[in-house]
Amino acid sequence: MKRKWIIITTIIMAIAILFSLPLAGCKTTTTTTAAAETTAAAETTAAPETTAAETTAAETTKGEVVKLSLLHDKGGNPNFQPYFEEMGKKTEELLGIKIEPVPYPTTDVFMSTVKAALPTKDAPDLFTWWSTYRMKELIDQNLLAETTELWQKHKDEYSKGLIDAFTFNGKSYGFSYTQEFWPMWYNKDVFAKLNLSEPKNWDEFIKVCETLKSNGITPMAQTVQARWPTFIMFEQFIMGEDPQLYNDLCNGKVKYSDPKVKAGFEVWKSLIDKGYFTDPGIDYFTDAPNMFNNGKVGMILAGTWYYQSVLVAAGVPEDKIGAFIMPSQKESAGKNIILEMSPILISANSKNLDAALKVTDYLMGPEGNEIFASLNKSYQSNMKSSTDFLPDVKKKIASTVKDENYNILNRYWEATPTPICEEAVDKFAEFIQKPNTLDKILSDLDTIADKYWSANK
Amino acid sequence: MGIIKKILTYIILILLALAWLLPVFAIIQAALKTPEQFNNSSFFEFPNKVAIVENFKMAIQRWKLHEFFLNSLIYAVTGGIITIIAASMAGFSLVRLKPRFNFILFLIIYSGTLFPFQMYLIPLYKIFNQVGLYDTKIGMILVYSALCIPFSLFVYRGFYVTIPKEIEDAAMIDGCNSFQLYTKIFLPQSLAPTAVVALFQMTWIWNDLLFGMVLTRTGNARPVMVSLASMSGVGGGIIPYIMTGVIFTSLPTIILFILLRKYFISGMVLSMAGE
Amino acid sequence: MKNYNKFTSYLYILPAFLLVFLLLLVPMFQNIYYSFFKWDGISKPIFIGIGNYFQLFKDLNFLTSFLNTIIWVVFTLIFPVFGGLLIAVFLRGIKFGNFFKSIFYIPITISFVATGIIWNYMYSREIGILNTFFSLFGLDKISWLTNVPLNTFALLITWTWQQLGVNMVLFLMGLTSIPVEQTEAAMVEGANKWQVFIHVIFPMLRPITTVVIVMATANSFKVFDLIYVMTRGGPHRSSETLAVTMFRETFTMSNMGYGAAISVVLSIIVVAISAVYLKNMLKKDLLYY
Repeated sequence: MKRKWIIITTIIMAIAILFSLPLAGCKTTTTTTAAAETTAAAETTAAPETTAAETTAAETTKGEVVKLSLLHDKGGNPNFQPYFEEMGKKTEELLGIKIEPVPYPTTDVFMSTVKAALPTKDAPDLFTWWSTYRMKELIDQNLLAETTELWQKHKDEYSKGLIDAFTFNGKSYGFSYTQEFWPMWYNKDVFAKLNLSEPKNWDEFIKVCETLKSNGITPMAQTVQARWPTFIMFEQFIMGEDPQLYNDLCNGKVKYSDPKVKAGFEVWKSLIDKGYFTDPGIDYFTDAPNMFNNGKVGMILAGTWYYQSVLVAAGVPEDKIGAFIMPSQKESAGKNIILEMSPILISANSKNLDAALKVTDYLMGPEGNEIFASLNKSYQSNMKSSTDFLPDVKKKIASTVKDENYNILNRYWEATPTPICEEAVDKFAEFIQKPNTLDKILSDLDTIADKYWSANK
Repeated sequence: MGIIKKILTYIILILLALAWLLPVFAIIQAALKTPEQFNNSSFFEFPNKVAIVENFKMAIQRWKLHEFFLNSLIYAVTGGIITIIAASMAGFSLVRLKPRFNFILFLIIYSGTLFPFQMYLIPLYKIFNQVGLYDTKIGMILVYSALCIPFSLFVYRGFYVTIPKEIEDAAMIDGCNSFQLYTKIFLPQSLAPTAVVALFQMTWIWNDLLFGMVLTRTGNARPVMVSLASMSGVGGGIIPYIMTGVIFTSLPTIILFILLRKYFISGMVLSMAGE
Repeated sequence: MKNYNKFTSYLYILPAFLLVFLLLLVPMFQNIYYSFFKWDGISKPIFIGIGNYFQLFKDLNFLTSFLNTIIWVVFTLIFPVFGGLLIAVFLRGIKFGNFFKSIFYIPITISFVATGIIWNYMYSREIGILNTFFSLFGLDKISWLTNVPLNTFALLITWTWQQLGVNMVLFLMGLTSIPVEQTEAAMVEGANKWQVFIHVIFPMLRPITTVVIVMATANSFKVFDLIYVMTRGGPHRSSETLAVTMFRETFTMSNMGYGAAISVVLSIIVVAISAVYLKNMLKKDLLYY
């Protein structure tokens, strides 16, 4: 009796395995054919010279509205879903092409789902992503559609730095729908009460911290909650040593245990030891704005998106919020600020490639690029779009960056390869909670970085 | 029981009950306040006005909770029905009709409860893509049924084992075929395990997050917990809205529990007594 | 009397079997298949045999995760399971029993997502209730979710809040099936409450205790949603259990093969533990066959 059971079980399992083998293996074939199609498609759309605004609905399929999917992970807070829907409505009006945004609640599942979908016929037409290294891994697998012609067409409307960020080996991909600087937000009331003004150099900055601390106010917010925010201060203190050092570190040309890198960490450590940071157990998005409003914390370093969707949404009055750019700890490092570029990319396997490119053309133009920015009150990327809708505090930051020739550096999340970043943020968390283990942390970071760079020269 | 022991028991129970209710109190309080008041007042202040309706409207407007609510309702009900039918039929067959390889078949199906669900995610995603079930209501219903059947089979089988053989023999003497045996004898008695299965599995389907996140894309097929999770996304959240969402999306399962409670408990008692 | 058509007997099982086979078994085997590859989800998978498994046992993070998982299981047996039993015993024969039962049971009906969100708020450092109470009494605020190892225990408190009810209900059912005559007879013979519990009630609860322990153990091994929503396994991976690590490797780090290997290891453990108890329980049924 027993033998029969064993035989039957094995047969059933064998059938199951046979089933699974063909299904498991076959996705790579679709990508090579798709890549061939992409270059052809990109060339044909370069032909029509008319700007997107002049294209009437009649030019697209008779009366039928083409629907494009736009996948994003910004469905919670900040919630960009309504803004994307606005963009979609505008393109429907002007081009007969509707964008249907699909929000994902968490970034990890969003990333895996998009990556799993890209090689298949269910690839999203458009999707939000992150620049530099995070884009590169998709480009290396031929999963993105080129937009080189479009960037050529709009090249007078964008800064060179931005164009370069979207270009890899001479080819450009996707487009930029918003960008965010990372200034230091401060509580104007608290500053006024203590007679503090925006610090222009490191010494003034330290003085501000000291004054705040001696008046019972925690100078800056910092957290290990939610995993990713731990790199916020990291990038500040490394670029504050030397912006070139920061770039080299991100690109693997310098080790984490390099004395100059260590010096940056030690500045961070000294500020932690002096109690200039909040307890890292606070939540950057619910506790921090609360503490900011109550005058318990004086400054928060965050992207310019923090203004609307976190501070103002939490009820902080707009006239209480000021911003300045944090000075570098070394004078020789000059003036630096972190920029976060937000691309929307087009899949190579998109079923509606033409429509996607048409829509991209419009959204790259001055009018199109403004839609999202004006709703989110954020910076548009197109230099010719208007900035009237920006709150004063944001206008000030943008003009300071331009007028005083700040070095613009890419955010760590994108500037360094993803596998390194994902593990590094956990190490930074460890550092924040146990700053005395600095040497071990640096050597662990080296191990993580070496693992990647040795396999990916 | 001694009086002192009785009082002590009551005191302990009441303390525990209070501790258990504390979170409920917290969410109701948060849901009643407006976001402005929530951020600017301490926990102990009572809400100025009952803002729950506005919060609710915001939650629906911004996150379209009602669409997803409907989807989950369809999944829970349809998935539940399919599970009940498939599992009770299979349980009946395993116990009464006793096909060969009885035990192996049971184990194969039951093994579905032993593996962590995440391991099914990526393979299922690929399979669904290939057969076109991705982001469809049908796909979700099938997946949910498949996930619920193992435990339900376990329950039905355990229950059917307790039905006395005499009843079956009597029915056979009367000339029943298997289908009549199933529908006229086994099913009517199955109220108890069905209540258990319905309660546990429909609640499980309603509360699912992972499969909904990975196997659907649009509002067409997305279940409600995914939208609840997205209310506090990458950058934190506005607590009064979130708590309103929590209340709204938790009500169905709580109501289900209240409705089925009587059948559930008395049903299990009956099945135990039948031993 | 086995004179039913063999064919029809299979027919009844077919729907259940098909669904489970196609949607659960096949993916499971695919998952095992993937575990022998190095694959990031978009490029071609590379066959590395048992390389993933080797790496597992050298990985410090995996071992921490494993330890955390054990802590979860042990804690679950003590608090949600044993606590459930105690409360069930307390509730026996009490007035307003149903009222109390409902209060303890309701948390299991709300989803992990909702539970995680609620308790995130409770544990929040600045605006959370627990800290608010603490500061009322002049105590320091605690970072519940970021202090290691407090965070794991904070999660376990939430887990108990949610899971105790279900165990309690199952034990209650077991208790009600114990005929009152038996307990009365024992008391007549001079046993006190405690002895009655140990020698009469507890043994008769064996079947239901087995069910509860198997279920609770398997669940505590597989717990994911709660930890994910509340701490994402952090800070710096300190609150990860095996299920969370598996998710992280598959979805966050895109190490699909490695994640699959972890899920295989986890499954083997769960199957092994369940097998021990299942064997006992099914021995009875096998006699029946």
